[in-house]
Amino acid sequence: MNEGNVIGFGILTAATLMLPALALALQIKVSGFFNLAFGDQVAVGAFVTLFFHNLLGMPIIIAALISLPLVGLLGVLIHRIVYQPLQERKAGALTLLVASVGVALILRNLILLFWGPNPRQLDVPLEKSITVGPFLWTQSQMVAIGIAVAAMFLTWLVMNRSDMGRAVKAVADNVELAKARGIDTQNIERLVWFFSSALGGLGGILIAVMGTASPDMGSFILLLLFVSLITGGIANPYRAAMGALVIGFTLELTTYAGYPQYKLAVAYSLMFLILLVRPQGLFSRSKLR
Amino acid sequence: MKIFGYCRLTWLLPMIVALIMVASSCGNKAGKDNSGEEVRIGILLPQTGAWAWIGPAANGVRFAADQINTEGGIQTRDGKKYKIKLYSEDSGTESRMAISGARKLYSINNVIALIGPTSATIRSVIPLTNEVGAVQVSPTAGTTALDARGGGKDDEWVFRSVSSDVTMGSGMVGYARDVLGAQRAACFFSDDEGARSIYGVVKDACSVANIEIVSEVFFPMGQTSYRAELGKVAGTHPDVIFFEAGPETAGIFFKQWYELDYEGTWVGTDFVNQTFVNATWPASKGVIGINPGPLPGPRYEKWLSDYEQFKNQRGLDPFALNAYDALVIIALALEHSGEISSDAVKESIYEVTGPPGEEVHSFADGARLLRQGKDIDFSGMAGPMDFNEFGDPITYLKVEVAEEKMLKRIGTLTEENIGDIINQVLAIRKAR
Repeated sequence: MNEGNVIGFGILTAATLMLPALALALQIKVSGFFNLAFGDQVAVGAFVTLFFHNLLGMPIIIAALISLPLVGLLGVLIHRIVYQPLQERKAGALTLLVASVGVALILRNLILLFWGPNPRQLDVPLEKSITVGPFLWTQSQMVAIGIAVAAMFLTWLVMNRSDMGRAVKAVADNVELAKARGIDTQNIERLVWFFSSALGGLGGILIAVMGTASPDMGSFILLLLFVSLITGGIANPYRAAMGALVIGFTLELTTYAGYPQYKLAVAYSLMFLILLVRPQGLFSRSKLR
Repeated sequence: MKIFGYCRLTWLLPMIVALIMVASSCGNKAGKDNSGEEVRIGILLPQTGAWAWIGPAANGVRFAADQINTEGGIQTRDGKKYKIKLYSEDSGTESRMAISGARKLYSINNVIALIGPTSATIRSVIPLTNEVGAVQVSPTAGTTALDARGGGKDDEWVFRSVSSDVTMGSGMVGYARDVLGAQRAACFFSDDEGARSIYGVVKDACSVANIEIVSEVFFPMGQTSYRAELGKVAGTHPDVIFFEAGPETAGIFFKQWYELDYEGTWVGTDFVNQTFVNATWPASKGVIGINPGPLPGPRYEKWLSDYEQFKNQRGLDPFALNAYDALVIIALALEHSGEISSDAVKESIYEVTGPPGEEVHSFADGARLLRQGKDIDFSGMAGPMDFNEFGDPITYLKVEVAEEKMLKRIGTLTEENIGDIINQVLAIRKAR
């Protein structure tokens, strides 16, 4: 194992975190609260795909393509049933945060109910890694990295080159002003919840393809996502995704340096350091207001 | 702060109530029976979390309870018969959950004895057991932290129906030395108390068996990548890799081990069971597990057949034998003392499990002899239950290998095979 291999491992770890990090940041930006159920929505993405692929025998791509809109719809449903009524009654961010803990518990218990407590593997064939420059990756992993990069680019295109993206930004910046300009803010919020939940679900599928899916995976992922968000900068979804890249490298390099048992501690320490010296995140230009 | 400014109590309270309802629904509660003529026993095993695969061991307790109740129950001195009533709580893998579960079992369900939990949480539950003066028998906690605790010493009435990790760790190393001919070993363990406990034994056993440890890696559970950790191990070219990790984590790293095309023979602990194989196959092909297990033979075959019929499902759950033995021991102790209380178990537990006495293997045989006024020596399905001064037995170990998505038994280890290593490891640890 050399430094090149380690960087390759870091890219793989980052690829699994980047999409959910971007999606969560987008959700926070538009809805204005921390959705602690997001990790479990990621897990739902993995388990719904498991259902279509492992149980119904659909090809993995088809299973994923069916799962993503379903997970997106679940996100919209959660928002419509739980968060939107609370927001309409002017509930604060703390109330929404507590509500999201309830949603997380319900989602996790639903997974436990249908799948039991044990981890599951997507029935995908095992592959040997091949050398790609300094990196050691399997073909599936390269596809996964490609999907992550393509999804990020697509998100960037939608957000920056379409009316819908501009509307999302307007709602995120100032809801009242967006309403005054005739934007259907509720529709935009629904759209963001659909898109971000589906994107999170895609992250869950990538994690399951590269490892396993377990009912607990949501809580582990959520912690790393928050660390990524704070590291990269919570105000901008792409910077949050860059934060995931930094965290991916940090985890692998800590292990390479000989301290695998401390890799999470090192990642958290990095986050605290950033909170102290650069609270707006490593990649944000503006200061935190 | 702004986010707290909008907080409205009218909405917060229903949310908290909902949360409590959801959280409480996660527990596995038995119904309350006020008949009075029952013996209340608690089961505290993980139903959720990384060690949830151990949870089905509770089937062993339920099976034993069913057999005891079918026999008419436990007879006291005044001739009354008491049926066993089980109450179950989820210990999870965190102390907080385990303590909360134990507290409920002791204070609300009024159990007189507790079966469980695992190495991950047992030390946090023991103070509570001491506080209420109950008896605790763990069918799964092999942690060496209990090697010099329990068995009534210092009024800690904690017993185990599973060997200490000293036996399992010595078995792993003994097998690697005698059968695999290993001379260089790597240690790959998750960073938790249970795994560190085994690692300590493996390290001592390697020094006894003249096996050089060439790399040691401890890793956090639940990560998406263990590639760098695996690279560290593979780089030292070990003959054998001793490991312990739950199925969730192992499912990830065995896949990555295969992808990276590294080579080595993996020898794991009791974590290598059917759940583990289901979660890791086919990447775990050839992985060897050293597990507590019965001596093969007609007695075990009959027990397994009855057990499968009872739970209406094929297969032996991990630690189910040990869990079965735990309840039979408690029931025989109550039968011996002729009373139903925690103190009655304390008074008789050594009497019914060690020599002298006629060897028995079931509650029915034991109770029959006790009612005839004879002494008994219970030898369980998991092995002899001759407790040492700290309430620990030495049980049998089976050697299995993962093949065709199943575990195939390839050997048995008893005190005869690995006694030399166990004794030397114990001596090293005592001298420390």
